[in-house]
Amino acid sequence: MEHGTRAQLRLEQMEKRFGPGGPGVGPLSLVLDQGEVLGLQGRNGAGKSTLLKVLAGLYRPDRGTVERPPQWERFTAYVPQEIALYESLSAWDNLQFWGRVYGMPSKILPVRGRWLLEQLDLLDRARDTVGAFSGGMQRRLQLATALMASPQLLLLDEPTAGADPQSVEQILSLLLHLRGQGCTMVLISHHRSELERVCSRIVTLDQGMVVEEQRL
Amino acid sequence: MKRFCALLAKDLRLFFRRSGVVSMALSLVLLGALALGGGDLSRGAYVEPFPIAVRDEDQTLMSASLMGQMKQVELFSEIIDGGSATDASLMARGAAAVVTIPKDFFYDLYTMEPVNVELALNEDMPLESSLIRAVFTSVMDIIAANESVHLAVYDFCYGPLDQQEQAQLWEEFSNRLLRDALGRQLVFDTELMANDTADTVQSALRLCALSMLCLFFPMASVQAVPAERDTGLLARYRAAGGSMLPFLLAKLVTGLLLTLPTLAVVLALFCREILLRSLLTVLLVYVGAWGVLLVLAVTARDGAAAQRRGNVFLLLNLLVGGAVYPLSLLPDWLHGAARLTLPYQLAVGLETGLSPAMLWPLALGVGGMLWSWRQLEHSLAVDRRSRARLEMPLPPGRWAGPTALKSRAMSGGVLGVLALCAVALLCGAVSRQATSNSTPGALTVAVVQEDQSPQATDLLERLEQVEGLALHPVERNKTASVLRWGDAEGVLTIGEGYGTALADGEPPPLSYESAAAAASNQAAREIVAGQVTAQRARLRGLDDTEWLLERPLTAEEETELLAAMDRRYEELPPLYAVTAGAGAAAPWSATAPPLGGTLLLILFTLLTWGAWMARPDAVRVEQRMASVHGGRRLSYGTDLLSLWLTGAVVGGLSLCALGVEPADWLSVGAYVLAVGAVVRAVTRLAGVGGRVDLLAPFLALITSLLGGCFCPLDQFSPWLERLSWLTPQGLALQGCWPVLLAVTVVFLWLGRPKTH
Repeated sequence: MEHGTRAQLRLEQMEKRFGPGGPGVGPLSLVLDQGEVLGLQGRNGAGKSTLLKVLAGLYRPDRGTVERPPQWERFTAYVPQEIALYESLSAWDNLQFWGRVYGMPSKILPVRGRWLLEQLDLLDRARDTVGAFSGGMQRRLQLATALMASPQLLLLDEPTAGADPQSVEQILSLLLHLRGQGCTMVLISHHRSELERVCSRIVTLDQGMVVEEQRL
Repeated sequence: MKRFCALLAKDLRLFFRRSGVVSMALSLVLLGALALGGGDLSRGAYVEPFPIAVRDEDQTLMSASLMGQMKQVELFSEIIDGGSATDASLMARGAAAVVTIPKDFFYDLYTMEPVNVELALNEDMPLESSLIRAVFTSVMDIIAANESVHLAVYDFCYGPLDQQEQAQLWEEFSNRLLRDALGRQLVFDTELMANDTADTVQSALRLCALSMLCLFFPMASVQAVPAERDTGLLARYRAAGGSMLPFLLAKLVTGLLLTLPTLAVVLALFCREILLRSLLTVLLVYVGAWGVLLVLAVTARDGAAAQRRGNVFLLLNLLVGGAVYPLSLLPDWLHGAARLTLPYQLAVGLETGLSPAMLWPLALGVGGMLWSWRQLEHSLAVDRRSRARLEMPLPPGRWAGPTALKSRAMSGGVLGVLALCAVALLCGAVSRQATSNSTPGALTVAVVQEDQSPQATDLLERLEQVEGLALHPVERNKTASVLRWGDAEGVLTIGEGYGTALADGEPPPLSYESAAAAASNQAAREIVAGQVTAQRARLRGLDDTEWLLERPLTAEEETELLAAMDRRYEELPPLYAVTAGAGAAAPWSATAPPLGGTLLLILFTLLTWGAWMARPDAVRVEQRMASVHGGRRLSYGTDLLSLWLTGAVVGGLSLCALGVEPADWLSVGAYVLAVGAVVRAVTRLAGVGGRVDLLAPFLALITSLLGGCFCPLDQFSPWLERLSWLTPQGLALQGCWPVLLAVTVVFLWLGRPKTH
């Protein structure tokens, strides 16, 4: 990070459509400061996940630009809506895998992995295969794998979907902890209460356009 | 019944949703190709007359007469005058072989000077080459036998010969030699030899195709069992009052229904004469395979583990059961295990019909179903979700760590890796043993002696003295067992009336039935033919002597004359030399090539393990990795590295056990690269779900069969051989590693990660 200036994620007239006139998002402009937590809400098909995927670099915008600070490139973690973990590997192996993918040094991996499992109450299931986990446990583990990167930018697509209340509480607590650490986040949720608890700003999308913006 | 039909419909839908249609279509395409190839093989079995070339450097009346008489041989459609043309140009004109008669051959033959007729065989015409080689060898043996008899007879009648007597002997000997050699009666005629060759290849093909059917479709039918158990479908079915018996039987029937269309084609193609016996045998073996695979699926952690176990079971059965290499070529220590395999039961059933031994697969099927029934009932009452995993250290690095983890996930863990290594070593050892046994060397021939005449006994005594040939007396009812287990490479039957037929100059009642290795088959036939001809020449030599002396011979004189004939025969120098295009001996064998098993194992492993990459969770992880800096490249690269690493381990272990040339290592290395790239592309192009899981073993087996891993395709037809060049196995067997590298590049491009 450069001294004296805050890193910003900047979208300028960004548009991504699936076919001419098809569903998608934009054109929209958005600026996200470092340490800010942006909540995205809206109906199904409003373009929230598409926007998140554009921010994650999974989709290339058709028009406009997405500027991400270079120092965030290696420290961006994306948590998709569906569970993206190897079911036949253990929780520990999945953590190791994502830690390596994010380029974490070997010595730090066990320490960080153990801390995350402890935070998310998964330590006693570390050696079990993920396929045998409940939905809530898989959600928590998925978040843990993303946090192996010590991310500067964390992109979360409905991280609490399908999780039990206890799991939701653990996930939100960890997100609040990360916010306190200065981690920049973009969070999608259908639960207004969750967004209000974690986010500093909430944007409502409809048909790919920003229809409401609220600072908390 | 309604419930059973619903279960059946469910299982059939499950199969067809998982690329079942493609599997069935592939099997029918394969059989169509083999049927056409088989048609070519049948045509080849009744060989059309073919041209040969003769280069006459002798240019004497004798050699001209030889060429004239060769034109009378039915097997040769044309005798091309070789002149000064090269062997290659003559072969390009369609000659199956080029015979070179050297200058002064006949005179040197008579004066017993070392002289060779050269026979160059056309490698592009393997069946014709093998036939002409057999004929040529037999003819030259006849010449040698006649020459020794004539020299002994004249020596006996006239003592040391003067110039005039020598000239007379040469003329008489030459005339008779030509008449006898070219108007000869081969003791085994060429049509019979060709038929045996075709039968050998067709039997191997039939066993291979039926084994694949009996193992593949049962595996497909039980693959969903772990998922049905773990997702609660089975519990819901039981809670609704459903019984376990129809649940399991529906899977048995599903597999049978899926097998039937392809089975009907196979039986129609290869088993027309033993249709009912074949059908019953296949059904029994199918039930056995289904029972074992059901047990493997029920005890598996998940569908992928069931698939992996089934794959190992399938591979072991094919390797050890005689579907890839004939049982007779397997090492002795594997014979016990081979008896337990399903392809063995299939082979025995097809050969001997239904017997009490066939109860073994039936018992496997029923036992497997009852055990699975009990286990599934038990599994409904226990929590299966908590399973501790063995932790393994990971290599450091952003590439090495994920590669190791992916390899572990693909293999299913340490046990999976160990099982694969064991199969790889076994594959190499079996291939080594099988291919070293198939080279002609020390031949063991079982003999059924039905004729007790002095001539029959004399033939056996003569054969016993032949270097590299061991005789093994056997009862007629033991011959099938002797052949199957390789106690002998063939069975020679000396039929009743052999002595009389020989004395009367009629075709002797001799038959020779071989095991699968056709090379030894021909060698044995040649040896026997040479000895029978020698016997005939000796008998005629005794008659000639009596005619020349105008009196009967005493017993002492007969003994003395026969000893002189033997002495002369042993003193003869070799009369001919055989070469192939490049000077090497012409290859000829119906046995799978040495690398066949290794290539099959590599593709089978990479396809079945690589199918893991198409599973939904793996695809989601790959998509998620694209969000990481350099993640697409990392995901793609580690996929490839884990496949190549697996292929290298499997191939390396197998080749170490096999012991091959450096050039083969190069071919197999390029093959691993190409197959890794192909598998990565296929897993991406085939989409997600269980499609690749289901297709993988079938694709591997089919391409291996078409690629020539199970039997040499040049025995079938030129176009089938050319078709094999479209498969990675075919290219590797031909040593075309540059093409394999090009294939690698193409498939790396096709399977490249795409951006949205």
